Amino acid sequence: MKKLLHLSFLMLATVAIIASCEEHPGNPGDFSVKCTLELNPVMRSLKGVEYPLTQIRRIDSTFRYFYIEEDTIKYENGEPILDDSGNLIVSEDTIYYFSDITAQFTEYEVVVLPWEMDTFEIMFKSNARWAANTPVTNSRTESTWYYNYNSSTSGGGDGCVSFRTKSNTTGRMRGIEAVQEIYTRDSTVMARLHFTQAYKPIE
Amino acid sequence: MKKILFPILCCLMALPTLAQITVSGTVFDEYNETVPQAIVRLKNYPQTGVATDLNGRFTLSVPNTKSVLTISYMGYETQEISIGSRRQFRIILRPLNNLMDEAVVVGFATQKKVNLTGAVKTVGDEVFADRPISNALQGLQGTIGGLNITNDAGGALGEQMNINIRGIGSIGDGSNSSPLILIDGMEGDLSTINPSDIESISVLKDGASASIYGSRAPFGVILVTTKRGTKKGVNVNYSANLRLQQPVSVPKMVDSYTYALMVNEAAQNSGYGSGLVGRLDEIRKFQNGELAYATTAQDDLHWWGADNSFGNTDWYDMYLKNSTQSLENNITVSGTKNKFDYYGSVGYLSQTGLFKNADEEYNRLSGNIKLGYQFNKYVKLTINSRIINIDNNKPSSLNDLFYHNLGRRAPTLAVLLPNDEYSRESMIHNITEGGRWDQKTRQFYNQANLVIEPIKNWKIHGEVNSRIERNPFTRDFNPIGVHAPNGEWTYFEVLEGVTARHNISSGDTGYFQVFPDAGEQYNEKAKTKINYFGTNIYTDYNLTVSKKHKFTFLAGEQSEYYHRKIHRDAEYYLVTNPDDEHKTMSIFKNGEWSSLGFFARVNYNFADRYLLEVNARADAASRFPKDQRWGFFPSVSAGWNIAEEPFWKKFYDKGFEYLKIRASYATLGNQNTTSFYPYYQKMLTYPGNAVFDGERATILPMYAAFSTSLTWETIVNTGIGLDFAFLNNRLTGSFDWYQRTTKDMVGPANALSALYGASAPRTNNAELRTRGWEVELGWRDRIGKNFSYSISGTLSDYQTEITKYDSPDNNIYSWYKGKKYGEIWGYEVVGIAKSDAEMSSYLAQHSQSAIGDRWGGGDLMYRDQNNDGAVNAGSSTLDDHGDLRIIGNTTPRFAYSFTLTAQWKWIDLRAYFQGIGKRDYFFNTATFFGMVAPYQRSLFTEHLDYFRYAGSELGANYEDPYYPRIRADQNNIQTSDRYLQKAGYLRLKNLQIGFNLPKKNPNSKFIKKARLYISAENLLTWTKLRLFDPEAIKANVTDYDGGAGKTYPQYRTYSMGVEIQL
Repeated sequence: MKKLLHLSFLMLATVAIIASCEEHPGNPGDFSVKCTLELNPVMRSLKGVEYPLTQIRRIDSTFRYFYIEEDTIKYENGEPILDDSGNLIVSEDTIYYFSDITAQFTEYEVVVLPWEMDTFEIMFKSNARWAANTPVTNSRTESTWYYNYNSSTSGGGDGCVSFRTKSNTTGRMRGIEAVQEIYTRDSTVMARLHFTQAYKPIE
Repeated sequence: MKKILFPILCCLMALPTLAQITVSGTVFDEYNETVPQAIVRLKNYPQTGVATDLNGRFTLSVPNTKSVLTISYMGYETQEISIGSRRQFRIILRPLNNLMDEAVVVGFATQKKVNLTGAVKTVGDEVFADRPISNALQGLQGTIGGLNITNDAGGALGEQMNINIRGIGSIGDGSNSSPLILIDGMEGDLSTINPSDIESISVLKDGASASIYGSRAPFGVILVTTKRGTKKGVNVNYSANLRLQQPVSVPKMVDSYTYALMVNEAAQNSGYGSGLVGRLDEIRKFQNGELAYATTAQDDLHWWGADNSFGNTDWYDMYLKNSTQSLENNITVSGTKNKFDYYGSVGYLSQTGLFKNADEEYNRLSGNIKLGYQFNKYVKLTINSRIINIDNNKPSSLNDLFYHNLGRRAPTLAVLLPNDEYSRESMIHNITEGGRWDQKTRQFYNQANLVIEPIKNWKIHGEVNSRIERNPFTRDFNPIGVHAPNGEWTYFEVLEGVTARHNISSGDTGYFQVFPDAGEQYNEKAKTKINYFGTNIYTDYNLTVSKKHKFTFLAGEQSEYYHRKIHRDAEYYLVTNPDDEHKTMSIFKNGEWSSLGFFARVNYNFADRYLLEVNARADAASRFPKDQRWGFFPSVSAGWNIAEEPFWKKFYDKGFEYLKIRASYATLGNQNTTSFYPYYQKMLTYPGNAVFDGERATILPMYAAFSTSLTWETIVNTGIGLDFAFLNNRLTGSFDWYQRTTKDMVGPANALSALYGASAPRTNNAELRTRGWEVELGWRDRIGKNFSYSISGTLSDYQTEITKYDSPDNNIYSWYKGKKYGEIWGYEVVGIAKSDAEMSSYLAQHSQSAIGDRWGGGDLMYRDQNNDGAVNAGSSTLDDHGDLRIIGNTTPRFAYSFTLTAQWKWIDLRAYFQGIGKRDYFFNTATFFGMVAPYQRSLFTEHLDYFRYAGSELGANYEDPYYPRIRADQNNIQTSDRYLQKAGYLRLKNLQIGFNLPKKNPNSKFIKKARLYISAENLLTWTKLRLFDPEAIKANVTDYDGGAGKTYPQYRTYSMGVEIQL
């Protein structure tokens, strides 16, 4: 009989404990997934012309961080050295250290774009948020000739950077290259493309 | 002649003694136990017989093989066995069919269950016994198929449950379809009566059963019978239980750093500012304990709040207790002596709430006394008085708006200010100092019942019923504030986030809708007086003709008068302004209704085989214009008890003892209009938009139109049913199918010209139909002498459809012909776009600009159902609903329950499960999606399962996320099938283990019964519903409808109690 009594209590206690433990889900986010950004090796224009993108270098580099270490300057006997005002003199050292994050930088050969006005698309695959800021192509000596679309300056996942060019009727190659960078938001993958534009031949 | 006859008679009498055959056997009961002292006789020779010995054995000599044995034993059916060629017998006795005698309370009478022709179900007090419930409705929930008791609004103290019988009967557009609840024949409140006073509850589900109550009961009746003294001598019963209650399904907020990252991401995705990004560093430091306070001074007069504080608080943890306690005590004294019977009880329930600092209290004190006196064999008088006093007290600010604000509280908000006061954002001041809300319910029931039986089988009943209610109510809002950084006292609003307002609602109760201003002192006092008086005078006569033809005649009248008086006053002023004039609001509402009904019923019973019941009732109701007041409502029902047919005998002997088919048809009127005076012209005042002297001016708009032809809604009930009991009543069950049509349902008339300035009146121009079915099954048995068990269950379903409605545009979000009650219109989701490119490609073919902009990877792609190149809702009408389709229905379907009981010697176990098989729900709230607007945020750990790319600070989650990317707008929260929730559930409502004092014990002279039990309520829940408790998904709309997840939490209760009978 005692066994039965104990069993009853045990059963109720077990159910009560199970019932009392309310599970809340944790964060399903996977921190081990690395960002990727892979450019399609061929860029196309709306006119259907293909432009191969050729890598000239690829660098893997480790992120380096730093912090500033402050210390009181002391005599050999351990006494702090005071300045003229009687305050402690504090030294500052910048300490650099490497993180476990490795970033990948890929640079491509300069692509010479035709002199005619056209629109181009750089396709890529990605699993991350990315940005493709508009390159600075103007200066005091040359007006802007390369425009990329607002909608393609940032995004997420597989994407496309679209840009268009003005006609180059200056009679010379563009003096300043358009450097288009496409990089993941955490800056672990970056592609750098260089563009210049041919000029309209003089008839 | 005598000389000849005498020897012949002697020979005949001596026949048995001349027998040459000896038979023997053993008699068993239904549990295979031997039966001693059973009488075994020779048929037609009653003087020849023996009794079985202690082992149930017998031996008897019979004259020949054609002899027949009869075996009888008290409480068991007498059996007959032909001898034939057998000499050894194993005889199993079958217990008497108690079902044949089981009485069921029906309208103005009791009937044998086997003779019922209507759909009536009775439950006893076992459904309430030793359960830690606070009202009888909680105990009834799920116990009877077709009796739908639901609670969507959580577990606040005194929370009301929704109740209907066999589903929706009215769309509530001017009338209601609540069942009539009668306590000992008088209309009463099932949520206030002490459950321990209830002896049984009968539910009259179909129209034919309820029709005797006429227009007061078109949607069924719940008949509550309270206990009375039945046992001789003085019987004292004491029970007490202590309860421990825990909140369940409480969300877990994300920590403040995660919160900030999510808010920032949502802002970025939706194009709103930068969220909390500027405070990430402080948030991290506060989490690490490097900062003592979570806010700083914004300027001399303000502390930083909202997105500029950097605390880390889970506000649910902060506010909710881990557990709270309640105590219930009941004592009853009952008995009979000579011609006198009595029953008296006192019960006290004291409950506390789940919120810290709130001092919530719910106390119910109830007393009941019932005295009966049999003057002589002709006259009996019973009087019954019951008094109930309920006090529900809580902070005025602890309402739906508070739950809403709690749900959207940012974890970054500071609890303490740098001056060590509680911050205004903590809402602690609101709860502790902001004023109290106190609702008292005082009900005093008095009943007298005189029964005169001038001749046998003829009874005259006279019942006088009265209920007096006095429900005082007070509500205060006190000015609250904190010290500003410069030390100056600053006031803020008790009800956070709403504009100050003082409105008198247009409803019959004249409720004051008040959102006090900062620094306002508000005091409100209301008195509600209700007087109810009713009489039931009726007579019944039972007539039996040549044994087989049984008639019962019933005729009588029922009158009711209800009067309600509400007086509500309020005064308010700003303490910040010493010259502020004290403003007042006052209403005085007087309302009454009355009804008068004459009824008659004839029951005909042929040999317990063919059953017929005819009801007729004529009703008059004050709620209609004079020329529309009277209505006549007939009903008929019939039953065929197949088991009583001669041809069924062979099945009967095999254990199929009871099988009955029923059918019923009834038309009933519904007088339960939501207004007491729906046909009167009303001119109601409203606060207008013009402001004079800083106050909104009261305006008197165009009077509401009214219909002079408004009359009864007619409810047509049709149903068929089947009842059975097999295998010595161990297997019992019933099945019912029904259809109920509400004709001439009250709805809006054709819209009037806008020039008129008022809405169309209510008129009888709509129609609604409900179809459903119910199944009940039960099995009970014993194994050996010491172990008994039972399992029983119910399953029911219904669907309601609008079959007529005057909808000029067939708007899908309003009523229209063909609409299923509760249907949900929404989009279908194709999927989550994995990238901007995929979304762009989809949008190129199916524009979603009607829903939102800034679409991208991680957002939802809604299906373009009509392939018109754009996803939209069209004009939201039946003819043009764009890409919307019906994706679900909120009606709780396939309601079921099952009960398991077992008893072994002195230990008993009861497990009661209740559930809803199917219910859809869509939540477009922040509590479900996390964010729905820049400042509508409720970020819980469940919300972390949203679409994120690699590189996110919260980790990648793009393969198979539940939620789309987080946004602060409406793009991804459109009603859609992907996020339609399955709100069905199965819940272990009650589990209890009882230990009973053995009947034979050293104290049995003094203690008749003692039971110690452990009981738990809402112990386990199985549901696919995310985030919320399936019984806390919708707030009751009073001042503010917070919606799902913004309700008082549901709770789990552990209880230990004792029951002693002296």
